[in-house]
Amino acid sequence: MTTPWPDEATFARGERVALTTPDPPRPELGHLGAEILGTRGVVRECVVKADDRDGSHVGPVYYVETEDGSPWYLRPEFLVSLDPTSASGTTTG
Amino acid sequence: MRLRAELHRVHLGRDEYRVITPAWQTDGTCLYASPDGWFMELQVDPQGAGDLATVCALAARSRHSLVHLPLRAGTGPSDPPEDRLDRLDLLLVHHSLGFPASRWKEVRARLGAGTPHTVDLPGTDLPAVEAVDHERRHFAGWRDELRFAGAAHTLVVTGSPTAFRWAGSQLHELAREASGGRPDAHHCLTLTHGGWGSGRPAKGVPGSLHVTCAPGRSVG
Repeated sequence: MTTPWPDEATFARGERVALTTPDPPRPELGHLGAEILGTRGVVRECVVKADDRDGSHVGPVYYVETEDGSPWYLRPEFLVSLDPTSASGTTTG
Repeated sequence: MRLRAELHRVHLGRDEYRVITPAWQTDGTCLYASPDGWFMELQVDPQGAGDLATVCALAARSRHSLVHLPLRAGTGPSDPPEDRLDRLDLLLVHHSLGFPASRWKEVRARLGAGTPHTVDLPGTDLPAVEAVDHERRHFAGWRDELRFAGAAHTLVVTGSPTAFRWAGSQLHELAREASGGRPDAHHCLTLTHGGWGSGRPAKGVPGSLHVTCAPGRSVG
């Protein structure tokens, strides 16, 4: 059974993405190591949830499985689409 | 790293599951938990710790299989835990499989006779413990962690390839230390659900697994 995809999501299920640094920088959201940046993956799930690192921000968080099989749960600021037909295509999600 | 195993194929509804049961000497190994879910311990000898490290490497590569260790079938160690503790089997599940622990009881009931296989894994699958990049645990969104669940007298451990390889590396190091240590020395490590300080497993499932390795531990 496929779970409903949130209306707020700008990345699609199955969309290919790369891990990136927020632009402009958002130190309060955490960081990714230099060796991780650019790692490619596929969007598997999306949930809308609160993130207290950013005040009372509520927004989509994406489960991305990278090429090495690792799971990541990232806000859209850390993702860039690799799919040229995607409507998102930006890091702002 | 070489492992003899039996491969089972189980049909459950529209789903088919591949279950790999490593054939190893488990009599020196015992996994148990307190009935109140307060703690959980795995007792192994150095051979068992090394074999378990190899099993973790196998789980890391088994994107489409469940890796099952029926530890309750063994006689257990010569210094068994108290009777009031529950002995458990162990099931390792690749996170990509999305296998719900609640299905394990039905899958196990359909195992039947398996097909013998020999599994060869590159020794490089398990990184040296000093090569594990612990800094990654502080990265935003990092989730390469083991997750614990319980079902049908079984500890179900779900993880990513990296999570299983890191656990395997720790177990391999534990085996190495214990095999060269004094028989009465205490060698141990702790594997945790969701990493230290983050997340809790389902009610009744301990959040950590204490692994003790004794070189003198023998069959009871």
